[in-house]
Amino acid sequence: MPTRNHQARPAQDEQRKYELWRPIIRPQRRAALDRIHHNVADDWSRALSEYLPRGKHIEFEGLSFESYATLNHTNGEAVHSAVFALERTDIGGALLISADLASCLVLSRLGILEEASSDSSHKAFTRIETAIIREAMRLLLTSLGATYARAGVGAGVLRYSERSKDPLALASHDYVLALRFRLELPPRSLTLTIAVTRNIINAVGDLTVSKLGQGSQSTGRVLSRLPVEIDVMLGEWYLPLTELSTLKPGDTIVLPDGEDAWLSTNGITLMKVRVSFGQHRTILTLKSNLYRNVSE
Amino acid sequence: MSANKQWMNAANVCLSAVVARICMPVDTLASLTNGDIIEIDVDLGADPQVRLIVQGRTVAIATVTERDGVLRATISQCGPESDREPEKWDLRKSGTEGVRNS
Repeated sequence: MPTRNHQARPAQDEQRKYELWRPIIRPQRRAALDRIHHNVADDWSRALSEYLPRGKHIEFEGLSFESYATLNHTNGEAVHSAVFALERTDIGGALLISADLASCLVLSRLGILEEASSDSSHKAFTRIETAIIREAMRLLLTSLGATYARAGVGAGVLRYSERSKDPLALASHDYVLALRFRLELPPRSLTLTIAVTRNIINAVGDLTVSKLGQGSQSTGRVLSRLPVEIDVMLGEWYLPLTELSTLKPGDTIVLPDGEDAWLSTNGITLMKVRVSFGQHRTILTLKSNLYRNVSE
Repeated sequence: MSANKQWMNAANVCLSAVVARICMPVDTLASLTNGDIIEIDVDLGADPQVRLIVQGRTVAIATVTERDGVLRATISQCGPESDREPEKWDLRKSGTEGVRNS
């Protein structure tokens, strides 16, 4: 699972020349993304409470656009990764955990962090340690999906895979939104990065609509209680006024549909029903739902 | 028919045979599916009746009879009298209908 890369990570405030095709983001939307990912960090800190050293929290560092290949090379010495897709969206991404952080999570979970060397170099993980990292990644992704869903982005993590060959995996030339997080463990700063497809920007833009949607849900609740007046119809005819004016007691009209009736509101046929005339009640058994405008 | 009343031959109106007029909330209506049963508190009993309605007004009351599998509505009352006692069939306010899901 670990892959080793040896390039140094660029400084955060480094000014870089604008490259053609590099996506841009409006300040308002950047602020929205910042807010969401501060929440992601808080939720992660809670979800991983048993995996983090006591009193330590994951913090959101910032976002930038980078090609996925560059991100993979600059994220740290060794990376544990999982690719994921968000349910009900086209948004996908990757979770990249530095080897230092993975090691910290394992040692904390096993309760031996204090005994561990501060040296960042580490040996290969045992099976149990690998299982612990996998469980931590599962928790991270589940929490990430839930936080995104709460913000109106997707409906949770649809699925994830630790295989880099998975179809979910991002292409190396893709520009992705790199969302960096850190865990301060002096003298080290351990890193965790989400690389997410840039269409998340539009989904966050939809966040405004989603907020409106919450309002419309309450409108929807009111609407759902509105009364609808319904006629139970056994027949309907169009006839000239002259014919109507000659109707008299004893005249018989054949009801065209036998016992079949329908429910109608404002000239719209809602559904067919069978009418049974009981002793003291009339029973309507719904036969088929349909929507038909009588004028059709 | 005088010439100035010939328009009545051409003027079609919609005559509806209505068993009952009921009222239910949008969400109840939307939840109805095939096989559901709506019980309405209209005691049509052995002498089931329908209202013949034009433009929202009852113009006649008809008794429903069945012969050879065909339902017929035989008019028993015509005119303004038939528009009285709407509470017998108009259940919008009494709320006596119930929906039973299958």
